[in-house]
Amino acid sequence: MINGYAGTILRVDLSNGVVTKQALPEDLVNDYVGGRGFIAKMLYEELPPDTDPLGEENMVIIATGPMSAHFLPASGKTHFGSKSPATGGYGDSNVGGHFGPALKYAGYDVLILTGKAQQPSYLFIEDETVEIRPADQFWGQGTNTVEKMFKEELGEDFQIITIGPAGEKLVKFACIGHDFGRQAGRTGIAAVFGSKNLKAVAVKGTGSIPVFDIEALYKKGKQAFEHVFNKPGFKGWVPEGTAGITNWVNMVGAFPTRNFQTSYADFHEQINGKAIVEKIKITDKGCFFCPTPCGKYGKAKTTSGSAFVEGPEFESIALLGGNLMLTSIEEVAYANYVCDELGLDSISAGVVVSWVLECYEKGIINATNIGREVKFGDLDSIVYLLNIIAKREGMGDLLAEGVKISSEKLGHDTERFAIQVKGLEWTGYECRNAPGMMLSYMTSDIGAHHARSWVLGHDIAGAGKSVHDLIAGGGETKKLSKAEVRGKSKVVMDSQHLRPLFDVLGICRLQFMEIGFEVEHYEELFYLITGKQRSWQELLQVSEKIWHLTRCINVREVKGYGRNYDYPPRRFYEEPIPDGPNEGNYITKEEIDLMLDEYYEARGWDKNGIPKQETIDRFGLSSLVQSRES
Amino acid sequence: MQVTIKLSGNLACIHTSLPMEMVMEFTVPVTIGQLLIELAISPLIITTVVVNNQLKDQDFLLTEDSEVLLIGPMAGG
Repeated sequence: MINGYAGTILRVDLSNGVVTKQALPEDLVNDYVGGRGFIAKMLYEELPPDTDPLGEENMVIIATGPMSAHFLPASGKTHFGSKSPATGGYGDSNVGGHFGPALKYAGYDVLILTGKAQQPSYLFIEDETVEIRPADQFWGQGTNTVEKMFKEELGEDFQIITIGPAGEKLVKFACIGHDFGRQAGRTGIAAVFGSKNLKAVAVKGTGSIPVFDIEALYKKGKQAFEHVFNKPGFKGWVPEGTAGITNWVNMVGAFPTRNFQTSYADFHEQINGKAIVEKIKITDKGCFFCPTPCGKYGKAKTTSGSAFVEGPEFESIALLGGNLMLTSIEEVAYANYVCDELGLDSISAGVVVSWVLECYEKGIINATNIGREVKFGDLDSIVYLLNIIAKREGMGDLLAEGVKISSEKLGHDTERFAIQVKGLEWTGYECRNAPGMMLSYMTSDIGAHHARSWVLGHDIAGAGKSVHDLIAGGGETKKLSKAEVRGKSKVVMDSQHLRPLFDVLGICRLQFMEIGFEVEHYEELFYLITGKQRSWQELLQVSEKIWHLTRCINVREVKGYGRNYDYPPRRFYEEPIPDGPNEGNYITKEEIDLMLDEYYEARGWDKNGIPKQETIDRFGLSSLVQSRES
Repeated sequence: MQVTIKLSGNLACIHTSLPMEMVMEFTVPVTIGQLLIELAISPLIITTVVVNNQLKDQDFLLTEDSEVLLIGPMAGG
């Protein structure tokens, strides 16, 4: 028995139905803690090198953490890992909701899926009962539709994760849906599900999880909830959730607009958090034990269709709103719904579609290629493109490969404005004058993703004018001066250790990052759950070790991996921003290289970005990994 | 006059040299803007200011025993 953990790894071979229940090893717990840590270790150790991401040998690992499912704020996170079809390297994704706790209450900390089912199937788990069941009646249906079908058939107590038609068609940016509007969105893990003929996992758990000091945990947990409720920022944050940042991101000229051609949308107040509250929101919607529900559930009515939808979050507002020039919150929400139901990552889908629209504007693609006239700001065009991508119809078959491969195959220099790193499409922050954030995207282990490291605030804090001048100017500025690019490595690295640590522990970071729930509480809660005294600094060092390990996975799995995979798209270092608060600003290629040189040195990687042997040794990875430094 | 200032978690991550909660003394009433100058915090990273549980802008003049919460930008999900 390991306090805090269910104590079992559940392995299911979909090829032959063999189910294995393995005791959770103590050394795995001590060295990698949980969640993302378990995934990184197991992928490196168990995945055969050069595995085809959509082949039978690829694994999907679904992992909870030691703090998942326990009585503390926002303990409902579940982490997914696999070899990514989008990047060919380490892929992971995270979802809130209730699935992870249900898995843990059923008795399993980790679920590992291998092989391929003979026919469309779903995995049924009810405590110790584990069965592969036919899923013909669900195959082809959307994620919300399927989840409703499962709940009706199995009961409301079951928690469901499911893929949509996009995952079935192996779209490289297909996502896993859960809880009617939550997604494990990034890196295309739903396509791995699809390649295994796996439509869904349904789990119900009625067990319990051992805790070191349950009475003290209950008392501390109750205090933690009250502490969050009493935080001064609590009331200000909840009504709009993450959409509340939309105005600020525009004010500082970092809002993706028209395929990242520019960084300010003059219509942003029509698609911000206030617009959600005033025009579409019905209720707030939260996850397991969450006191700060970030979900905004509502109804969107448009000329293209109407739907109930959770969202849009800020990312969807950025990539489906500003980036596609949809100027009403109803249209952004509806596009969000279409992505959800089809099982498409709304971030990647937004970037792929915006690339198509720019290609069309430039005459590189025409109506014959794509099937009809398409344009920015037209919801019908966008819904059409999302559907042909999800179904791989016509040119949608190419687009389903992601913007990197699409642009490489189309040519005409369209790679210049294919906004991605390592094959993963960029998320909602335009960074041509935010060097720390640019470096964060470039060096993220899964490709261009902000959740690994978010330092835009640091970039803006140091932007240009003195505080005095800014205050005298009324606190805003019509134009930001060029930001300093040197010296960004430390703040990026610190963020790259801090933010993913929550994915290791199995909890949501919003309470800490946005509401200010202090680190000391997490240390105490960790002790009361596990009985282990581990300081926050110690846990950050585990997260740092995992960072090097995921880099090593990429080095092993992606042929020729190195510095060349860390570059941003050429648009960002060749084209100054044409207008808005950051008019004229961009980061040059020379500055990009300077930032990478600084970062690699700080990391203990060689000039090609490969972890050195001494670094691997320092982090206790040498029994697992041999360096491939040049 | 005495003013209590609290920083949101994300703001504290940016301004690591500042405590998350502090009490400051001023000989005359100050505005939020003047407070930010004193703390060397750029107004560009203050998304919301709450004074005694009410939203205020940077021209607001603080009074004795005001409790000020400075909220920084969050990473949108």
